[in-house]
Amino acid sequence: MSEETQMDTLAYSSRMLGWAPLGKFAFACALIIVNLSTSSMLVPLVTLPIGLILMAYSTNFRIPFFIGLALAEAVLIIVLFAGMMSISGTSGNVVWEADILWIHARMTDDSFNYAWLVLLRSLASIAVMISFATSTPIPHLSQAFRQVRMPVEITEIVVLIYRYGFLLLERMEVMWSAASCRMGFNGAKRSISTVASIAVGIFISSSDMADKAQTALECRNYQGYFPVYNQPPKMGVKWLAVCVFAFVAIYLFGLRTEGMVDMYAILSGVLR
Amino acid sequence: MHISDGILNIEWCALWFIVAIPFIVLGAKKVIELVREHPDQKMTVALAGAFIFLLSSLKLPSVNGSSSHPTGTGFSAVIYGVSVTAFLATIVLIFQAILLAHGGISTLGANVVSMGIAGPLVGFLLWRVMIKGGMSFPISLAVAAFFADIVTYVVTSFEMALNAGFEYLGNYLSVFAITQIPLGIMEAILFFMFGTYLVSNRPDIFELAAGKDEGDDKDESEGVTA
Repeated sequence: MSEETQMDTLAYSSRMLGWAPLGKFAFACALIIVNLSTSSMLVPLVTLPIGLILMAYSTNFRIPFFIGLALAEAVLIIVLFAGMMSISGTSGNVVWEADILWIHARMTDDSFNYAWLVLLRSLASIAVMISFATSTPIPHLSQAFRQVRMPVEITEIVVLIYRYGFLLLERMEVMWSAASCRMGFNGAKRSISTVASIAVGIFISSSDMADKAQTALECRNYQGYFPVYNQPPKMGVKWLAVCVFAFVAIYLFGLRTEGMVDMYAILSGVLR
Repeated sequence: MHISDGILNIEWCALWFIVAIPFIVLGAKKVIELVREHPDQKMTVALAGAFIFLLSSLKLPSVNGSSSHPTGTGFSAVIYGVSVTAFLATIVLIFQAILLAHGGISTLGANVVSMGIAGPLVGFLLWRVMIKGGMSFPISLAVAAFFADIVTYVVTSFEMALNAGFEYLGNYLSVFAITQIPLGIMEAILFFMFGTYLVSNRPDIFELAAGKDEGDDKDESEGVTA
């Protein structure tokens, strides 16, 4: 099964499929923005479980393998980035200092806490966004945007890019595997040449695919738009109220808890 | 290479959105006009977006053991123009943020500015200068791709340094440089070969791009006269 099909299957079998796509999107955005609105470390510790609970409810954590890999890569990048931030301190008490290659690393209690804040914010945002992605097929989201007067041309191009993007990715994987079997990645020069050939092949096949798809559509009486008969549910006042309530409640909680958690103090206490 | 959610403060997220929105709206308007006038172009535009999505998922090994990917927007800017590229890059970045946790929704504006606007703009300008200077298509494409890639990362470093403190710009640039300069060179070689293949197999693609340049020049000169 292709990646796109796996993702679609997951989204179409989600318990949250019947929820309004725009409502879910607004709720996810509200949680992501409120994460950034205060410097309280407890805010991402509230939004992270919300994201994980929604993900569990939506899919029982059945994440396709390629999405799992992408998530692991994203988390690794964020951890590395947070590590870099923790050794880029300018204010606070210096707890560690060293010269690493050309970089003068200085970890302070402030930079250590800030790195943890960034890490938790990023992880919480990923959990929230994946809970949304695994419960909302992209065509549903695209159709839902028509409810906020987005032009039909844009919504259709969004769906087409999604469909063809994964189709081309699948073709590329086949070509990549075939080239690999023919020793196409044996040495740097040959690898670059092979990647260039694959890119050209994909580009040419994508332009051929566009021509063929256009002809196929015209044969099926294409009038310039794709009619959709099963519209996804609309975002009502209830969703708006939920989003506003969640945002305000978490924001006020964040304001009251700013500076309450000191990760440096906690971890240095544990290590002692 | 994309900035994830949680890394930029809310003020910077808002600022980069404000910078990106005019380009995205202009690109969307151009795409809508194009599709309304020529419905048969819808598939071609969609496939151009899909091609950017594909190229940005091409993982290439880099010197520090990590991997990175071409942006693909330099090529798109040469063929379709900067504003359309900004619009297509926005859609691709939304997909990457939602489906692959690559980038983010709050940092979408910042990522669009670096990958969808600054890189393609520099690539496009260099392409025009080099083509007008009589350079061959493959070399011009390679140089445009190299600088589009490098500028994307320079702007990303700039965005992160503005958020964290400008004194870190050197750190971000030097850390990115380890990965990105070799990757930019690889991408330039890749696009040189890509250009060579296209010149021999699909010269119409470059004729279209060259024709667009001439058309743009004509439009601009007509605008000045008017």
